Parts: sequence; C-alpha cells; structure tokens
Amino acid sequence: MNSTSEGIDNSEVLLRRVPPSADHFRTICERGDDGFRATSAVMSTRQDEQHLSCSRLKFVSPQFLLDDLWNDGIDPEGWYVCRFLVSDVRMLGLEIAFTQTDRDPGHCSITASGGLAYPNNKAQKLARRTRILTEEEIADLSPQ
Amino acid sequence: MKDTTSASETANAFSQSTGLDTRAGETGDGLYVVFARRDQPADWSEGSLDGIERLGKLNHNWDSYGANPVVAESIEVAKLLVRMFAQVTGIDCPRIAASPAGNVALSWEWREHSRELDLEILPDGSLRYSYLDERQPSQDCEGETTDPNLIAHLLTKW
Repeated sequence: MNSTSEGIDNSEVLLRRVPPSADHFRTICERGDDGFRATSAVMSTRQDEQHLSCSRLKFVSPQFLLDDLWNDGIDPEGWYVCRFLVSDVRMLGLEIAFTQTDRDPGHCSITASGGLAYPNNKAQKLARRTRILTEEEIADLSPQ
Repeated sequence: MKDTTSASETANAFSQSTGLDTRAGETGDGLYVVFARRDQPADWSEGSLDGIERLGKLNHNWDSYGANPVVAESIEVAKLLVRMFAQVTGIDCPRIAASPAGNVALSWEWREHSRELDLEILPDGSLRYSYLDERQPSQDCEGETTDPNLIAHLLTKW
C-alpha cells in the first residue's frame, strides 16, 4: 500500500460507506440544516486500528463503494454513502494519506497529525461535517 | 459463545459501585443540582433496552471496515445506565448505536442540533464521553468516567 498526501486538494470530496440504520441501531441522523449525516459511531475506529478509511470521489464513485460490498458477501441494499471534504479533515488537525488498495483505487487513510492513530475523539466533529448522499446522487456521481 | 457470566458480573459490579445521586450537589460552576425523578420510568426505556439487546446480534464487519461484534459486558452496563437515566426527568431517549470497537454507543442531540453528547460504554463499565456545544464551545468537554452522575448532569443542562 503506497502512501502519499501530495496532490489531495482541500476541495476534494471523500466518501465512506455507512451501514443501514434502524431504530435500535442508528447510523444516520438529521443534519441541522437539511438532509442526514453519519453518526459519530460510524466515523470511529477499532482500538487496534490506526486509521479511518475513506475514498476519493476523484477515483471511485459511491456506487462503486456499494457494489464492492458484494466482495465481502454483503448485500448493499439499505446501505448509505456519506460525503465530506478534505478541508473538513484538515480543519480538525487530522492528516489524510492516499493509500490505494487493490480493491479500492481511491482508498485514503485519515490519521492524527504525524501519522499517529486516528483519535476517536474527533469522530463527533467529523461526523457532523458529513452528509448522506441521496439515491439520485449515488446514481449520478462519478469519479471527478 | 459469549461469556454471559462475565457480563453479568461486570453489570453487578457496575450497579453496586455506581448510581445516581439523590442528594443535591455542587457542580464545578457553583450550582446545586438535584436530579428530578419521574414517577415511572420514561416510556422510551423499554424500547431502548430492547434495542441495546439487539446490538448483540451484529456480526463481525458490520460496518464493512472490520468492526467488532458488540461485547456482552458493554450491553449489560448500557442497559443498567438506560434504566437509571429513564428515571430522571429531562433525559430523553438516546440514539442507540455500536462502535467499531464492539461497544454500545449512546448519543443525545438537543433539538436545535447545536449540542450533542456521545457516550461509549466500555466492557469494564467505564464511560467514555464527548460533549459538544457549537454555540458555546467553551462548554465542550470529553473524558472517561465511571460516574453516571456526570453524564446525567450533562444531559440535564439547560
């Protein structure tokens, strides 16, 4: 996995999959202004995980991310994709590195400054900057 | 198979060592507070307890990024907490979720969307919290505690 943060513009859009939401398991919630956002929990990492994964819209579409779920034997029905900006990440003092993988050519890794483990105490603020894409956006958005 | 004995021992230890204070107390900002009790548990409590229980059915990789299943100890402590909070006037129904680490995650958001409290219940009964107030960022706080009074105080702030 090669890693570089060069060339990722602040205005670039980042994507992350969000599991289906239910009353007993809330993965999305209303935004203050309009639409929905991801909850903090789904913008967090495991204790043994160094980074929060996301993908660059410049390389992959939201539909690609949903279709990729089949590779894990997961039916994408009901899944969401949230979007946020590179500037949202950097504004929180976090770093982003381009870490392409065989399965995800747009894969990025969000970490704390200096490449240290992603701090889950930033998940709340990052989650509030996300927006859940509508079905129309998922159908229309393609790598830019 | 989950170790239900261990989970119930954790829950018992948590319930014996903690509880909501019924006395008035002094907070950091010099105010005295009492948690006003409801006559009966809030009507949202049963649904929340059922929801927390159902988190135990989440499989490994439920978020597609490698999330862990939710551990039984966290579920048992979360249910105790919800029972406590359901007795306090002014505490609303939490959003129920799971963290990728495999813990129950509860959150409350005030109606105007400017304030939010996130709580992650760790298997040892510790409570990791993060309170955000966009209108008064000086009020933001985060940390880890074993005292549910601190969480109840944040939730009943005006």
